[in-house]
Amino acid sequence: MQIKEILKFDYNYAEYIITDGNYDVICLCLSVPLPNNKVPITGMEVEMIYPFTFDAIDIKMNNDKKEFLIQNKNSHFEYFLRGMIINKEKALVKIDGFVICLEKDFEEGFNDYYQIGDFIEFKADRLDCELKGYPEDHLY
Amino acid sequence: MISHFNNHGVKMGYNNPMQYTKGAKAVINGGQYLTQTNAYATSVSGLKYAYVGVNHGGQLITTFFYKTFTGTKAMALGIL
Repeated sequence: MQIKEILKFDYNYAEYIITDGNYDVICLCLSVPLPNNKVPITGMEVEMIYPFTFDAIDIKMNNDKKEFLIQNKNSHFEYFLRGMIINKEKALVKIDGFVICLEKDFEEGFNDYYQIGDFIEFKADRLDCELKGYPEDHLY
Repeated sequence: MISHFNNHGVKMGYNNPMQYTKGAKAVINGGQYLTQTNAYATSVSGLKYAYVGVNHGGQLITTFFYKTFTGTKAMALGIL
């Protein structure tokens, strides 16, 4: 996952198009401002993507459709996503070349109803990303 | 702020850029200042926080959106 295009950047705010080589998603950046007056540039690697939802995230298992899905809804940031669970404890979901972390919504990881390899789908009001080497924690 | 209103404010429930800006100013007035990001944050519900970035002089609002802080992070920032 890497930055394909910088849509907006203003010190403490950045939006990018992130690509996995096949698909693109728009993400808000959690890593800015970068230390030492560095700025995000095209090609920088993205460590992780997190879904943000205004309400509690609603995930549904869908093993009838074991296909990755990235569907941009009507608004700028909103996506409907379907991916495969690759790590239960860290609540990681793979969607094509993207890895999405739902740990903020599932701090204990996915429960035993879900297994590695299961496909789940959910809506994200926005996708947030952290750049490699610049986790959000570096800010706080 | 208009593009930020279009991309963030509408989903946050604001009807126009003026309302959105007013909401941002309320966060600045009542929220916690976060030195590291030059921003203000205040709790909305649970671990969701309203977050307002300002420019270096602090005179201009650069953005206003909601974000999630983990409990630990929120405590460290003094906003929990």
